[in-house]
Amino acid sequence: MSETMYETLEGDAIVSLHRKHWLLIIMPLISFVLLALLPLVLLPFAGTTVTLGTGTFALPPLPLASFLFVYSLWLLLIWVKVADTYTNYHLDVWTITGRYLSGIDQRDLFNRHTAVLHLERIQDVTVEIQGPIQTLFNFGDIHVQSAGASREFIMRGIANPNTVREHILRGHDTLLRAQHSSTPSKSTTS
Amino acid sequence: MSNAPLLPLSNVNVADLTWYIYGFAIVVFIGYSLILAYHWIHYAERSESFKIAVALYCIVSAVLVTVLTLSAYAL
Repeated sequence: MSETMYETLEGDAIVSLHRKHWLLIIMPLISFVLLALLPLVLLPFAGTTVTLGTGTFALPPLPLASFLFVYSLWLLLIWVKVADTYTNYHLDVWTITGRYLSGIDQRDLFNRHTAVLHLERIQDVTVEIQGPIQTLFNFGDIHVQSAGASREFIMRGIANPNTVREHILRGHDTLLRAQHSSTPSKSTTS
Repeated sequence: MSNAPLLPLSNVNVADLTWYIYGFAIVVFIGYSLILAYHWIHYAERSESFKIAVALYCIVSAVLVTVLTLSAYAL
C-alpha cells in the first residue's frame, strides 16, 4: 500500500484496511440507474393525449434537440450524484495498524469524522448482523468498547465482520504480548 | 398594484433561456467536480479500482457535456 493516503501515527504500518459491503453502494447505484431511465419511459407519451381519471391532458411534442438537451442535463445531474455517492463510499474506511484502530466516517462531502482507538485499550468487540440480507451477504456492524471511553466505536455495514473482529482481537493480543515481553517486571492483564 | 407577471416568461427567447440553463449547469458541474477532485486528491486511497472510477467519471462527463453543448447549439 505504497500509495495510500491514510495517515498512520508515528509511522505505524497498516495491517488491514476494511470498507463497507459492496451491496451498500450497489443499492443507491440501482436507484440512480432507474432515475436515469425515467425520461426514456416518459418519452413515448410526448405529443399524445393522456387520460387520467376524468381529466385529459395534451402533452406537447418534444423535438430531438430539446429532448437531448433536457436528458443530457438530467444525466449530468445524476452522474455527479453517482460520483458523490461513490466518493462517500470510498472514503468511508477503517484501518487496523500495529497499535491503533482508526475509522473515517465520510457522511457527505463536508461531513467527515475521524476516530482513533488504541488497540491496547479495547475491552470488548461485538458483531451485529441483522436480518436476512446482512446474513446472506455477510455484512453488519461491529461495536468496539474501549476502556475509559464513554461511547462505543461503531463500524457500520462492514463486510466480513467476523473476520474483522478476529483482526482487531489478534492485534490487541499481539500488542499486549509485545508489551508484556518488553517489560517482564510489570504484570499486564489481557 | 401592478398586474405584471413575476417571471415574464413570454418575453424570454428560447435560445437565451437554453444558454442560461446551460451556463448554470456547467458552473454547477465544474464546481462540484472540483470539490470531488479535492477529496480524491487529499483523502482517497489510489487503488486500481479508484483510478478506473475516476477515469470513467472523466470520460462519461466529457460525453455528457459534449451532448449538452451540441444540443444547446441545435436549439
